[in-house]
Amino acid sequence: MQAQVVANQEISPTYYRMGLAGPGLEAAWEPGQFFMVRIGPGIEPLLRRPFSIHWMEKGYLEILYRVMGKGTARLPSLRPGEKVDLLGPLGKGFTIPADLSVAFLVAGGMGVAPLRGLAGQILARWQASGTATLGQDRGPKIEVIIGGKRRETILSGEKLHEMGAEVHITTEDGSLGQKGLATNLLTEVIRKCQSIGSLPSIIYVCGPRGLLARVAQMAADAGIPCQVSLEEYMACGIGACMGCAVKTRTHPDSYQLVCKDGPVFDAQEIPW
Amino acid sequence: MVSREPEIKGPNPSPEGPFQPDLSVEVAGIRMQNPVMTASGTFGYGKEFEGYLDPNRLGAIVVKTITVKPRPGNPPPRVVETPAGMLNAIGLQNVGLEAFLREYLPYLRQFSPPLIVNIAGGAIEEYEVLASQLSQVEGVAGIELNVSCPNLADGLVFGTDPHLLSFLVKRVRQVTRLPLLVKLTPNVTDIVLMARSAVEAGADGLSLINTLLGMAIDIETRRPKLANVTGGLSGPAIKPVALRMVYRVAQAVKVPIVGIGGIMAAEDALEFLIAGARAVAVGTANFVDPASCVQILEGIEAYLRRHQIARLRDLIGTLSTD
Repeated sequence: MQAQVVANQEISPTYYRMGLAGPGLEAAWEPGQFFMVRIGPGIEPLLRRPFSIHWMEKGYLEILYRVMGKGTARLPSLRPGEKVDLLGPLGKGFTIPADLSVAFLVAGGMGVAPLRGLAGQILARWQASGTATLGQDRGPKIEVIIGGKRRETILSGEKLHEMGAEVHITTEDGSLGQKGLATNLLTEVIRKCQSIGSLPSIIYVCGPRGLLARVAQMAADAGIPCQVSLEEYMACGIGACMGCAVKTRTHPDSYQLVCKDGPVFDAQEIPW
Repeated sequence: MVSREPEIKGPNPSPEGPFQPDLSVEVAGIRMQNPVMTASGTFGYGKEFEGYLDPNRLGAIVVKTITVKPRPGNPPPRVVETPAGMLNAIGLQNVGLEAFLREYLPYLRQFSPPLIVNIAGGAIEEYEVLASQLSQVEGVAGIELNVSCPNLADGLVFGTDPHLLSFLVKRVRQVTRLPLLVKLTPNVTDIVLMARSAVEAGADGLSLINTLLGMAIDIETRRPKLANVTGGLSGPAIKPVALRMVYRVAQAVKVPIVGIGGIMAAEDALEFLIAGARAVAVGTANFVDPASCVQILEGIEAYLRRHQIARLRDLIGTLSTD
């Protein structure tokens, strides 16, 4: 599917937000799903690159990316009006429990990419459910923890705040928000919840594997359901190359695929 | 200079209709409506391409390697991009023969193009089991031997030793009447020797090439980029190597050849056909664009129209070296 670049801005050094418009972009999507983006028409770079849906609505898609290698290095030069070839939305995204009251969204650096779309979908579903209009409840509460090395790596905190989420930020060097790791803050927050006897309905997490593993453990210890979004090298994004293998507890004798069976998995499924 | 342009003849349609070239070919006794096949391991079991490509447009469907028992495959990372190509070390992850017959074959049977099943084993007996069982079910038009795996008995890769290869092909030949293709590995000193060996042992056709062995290193961590350390290189980077091998083998043997290696566009496919391949198989391109096979097919058709070549058969092996 072809889409047209409508915006491509550097939001922090080496980090960009790209908006794409195309009639093929559907209103129906799951948060946590991704698109395979063709970097250029030639054979170098050869393969598409996967990007989470940061935001999507009918006819419009937004992705976050960081210039990392030879593929992403070409993206900043795309100007509004230029065409980009997309494949998606792909994979299985986050699932939102029907009775969700409080959700914790934990991001490590770029891991915030799928969480904005997730927050949006949580709110949209509640609004569509009918309870919103009755005014009987204030809707689901979304608490976001974004952790990063320094302030430049913290993205989309304001966007999430504007949506009504409570946003907590941690940086390892203390240049923004609380100094320390996202997991330290999460430990505190969970402890607070435990002390008042009201645990969150679910924890969603996306970021480096080490963060996912620690959050998965914390969630398991506290008895809170947890979903993780994984990352792995992939060539096709549709389950054909079988490159993005992941060991899961439900398939101990084989591998599942991040692109097709994921990228979102129940945290308990992964043998960390 | 004598022109080697293929003659214009054959089933040219009515004068007022558009010029409709005949794309059909026959490979190893398998009749195909066109020469564009899928390369094993890049088309899954077909289902993955639902919504992206109509399998009925294909010349033939070649599915991912099947082994007797299911194989888990290698740990990740399994793929990495390299200049104009990619390395993979999937490790033949597959569901095994039984699950293939039960869960995937019924789905694949609904499509009209012939189905070719690629098989591999660590011992000759495993190839025999696979070939004989696949010969007894409906819906399998041919077998392709993946000979790029090591023989568990002596550690030699079947496809890199002409005697071992000959022995394997003879044994498989005895258990099946299905058309038998042998997919040759390029990781040999002389691929012509391997090609002759396979043909003399009873191969009805040859597919070439499989991936070239390679590796990539992350200099920051000084670790291999693939968990398996080494892997198979595919994509445009290997096309010139593949093309030369197809050309050399086409001159040396009489059986049909399926040209494989870095075919991304119709122009690439046409090079292989001109070099002597009877058909082509598209691999890595399926990962970049799942509709690649159909785009390549349409490009071939457009080329034949542009050159007023009535039958694809008239183009095959027409390389002029004067």
